[in-house]
Amino acid sequence: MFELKKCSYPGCPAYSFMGTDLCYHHTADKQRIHRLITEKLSEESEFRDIYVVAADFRGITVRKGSRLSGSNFSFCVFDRCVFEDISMNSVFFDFSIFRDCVFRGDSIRYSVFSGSTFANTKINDSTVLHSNFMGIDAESCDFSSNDFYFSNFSLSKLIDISMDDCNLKRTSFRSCIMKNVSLRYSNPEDAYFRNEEAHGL
Amino acid sequence: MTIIPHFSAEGLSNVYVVVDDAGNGLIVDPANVDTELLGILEKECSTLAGVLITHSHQSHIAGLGILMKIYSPAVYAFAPSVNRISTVQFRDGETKRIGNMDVTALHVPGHSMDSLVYAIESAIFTGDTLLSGTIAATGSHVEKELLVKSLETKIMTMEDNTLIYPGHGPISKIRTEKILNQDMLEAESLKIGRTYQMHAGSALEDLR
Repeated sequence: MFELKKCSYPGCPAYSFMGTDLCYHHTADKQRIHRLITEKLSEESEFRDIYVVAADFRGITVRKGSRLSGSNFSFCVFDRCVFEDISMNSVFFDFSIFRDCVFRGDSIRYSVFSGSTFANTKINDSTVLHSNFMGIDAESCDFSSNDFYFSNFSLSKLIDISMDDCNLKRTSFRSCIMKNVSLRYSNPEDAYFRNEEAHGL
Repeated sequence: MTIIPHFSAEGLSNVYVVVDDAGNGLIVDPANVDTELLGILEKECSTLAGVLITHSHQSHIAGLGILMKIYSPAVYAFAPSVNRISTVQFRDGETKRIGNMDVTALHVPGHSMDSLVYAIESAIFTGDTLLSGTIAATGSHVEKELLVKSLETKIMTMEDNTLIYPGHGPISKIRTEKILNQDMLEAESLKIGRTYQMHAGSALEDLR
């Protein structure tokens, strides 16, 4: 899990960046840290415990076959980034922006995308289990051919979305706004759309 | 600290393995002990320091017996015994040192009277009390009120970046639940409605 040490800057609620005393936002040499993370993402095969908030990542291709776990990328911007054949576990991308990104052939488990914005982004041929998409704002995206078992899209706004050929068993769409969402060859009958208890176990 | 989530097909529950820097492991809610979970324990932990029980529903404790036969760890819970196994009891707000981790328990009744939420560093293990986007099923309105009140006072007051590891479904953060948890929002709006009615009622009385 990423190190949960508070940033030493007075009044800052964020956590410090990987063993330093300050968070990414308050560190003096942001560029060096940004370069360090970018290199890690594009070159290393296994990385964990990254904590970065409100950073921009543009045009990065995460190394194929790499494993990412216990990391936090809240409030980040991902523009034209490619995540292909990646394994992710317990990674937080909450309140981030994904624009023209591609997730393909990934294994995503127990990860959080809640409150994020997705535009022209593709998530295909991936296993996306137990992941949190609550309150996302997605437009013109292709989320086809995925296993979304036990994932949560409640309170989201989905516009012009293709969710064809997806496993939607126990997927929650409670109180979603859906406009022009295609669910061909998927199993919406196994998903939760209204106020049924998704987790009333 | 490392937190490894594991999905148990028995009870559709989440089991968590928490490991400190010295390799002391904790299991939160052993819903089922399967080969995958044993593999995680053997790979990540040098010892199993304890088992934390959030509440004694079978969908969260069914694997406890097998775990005791293999590792015989200390079992921590609110109740004095779970599945006839004696426990080390936690009281509301109490902190115990287990391995190199400080574990604080918060009593959050409503779903069951023995429900505990465990806080370790900036992560909380909420069992069935608080799930992503919703709260636990309750048997009556009184229990629901009790649960909502406990969550409002003890959990939702935590720091926004606190990580939530629930007993079922996806993980979350306090910030997300404050903004998007429908059950908590509904409870809040009901409370506002009641306050408005009360004030409107007294204003009418004044007019009369």
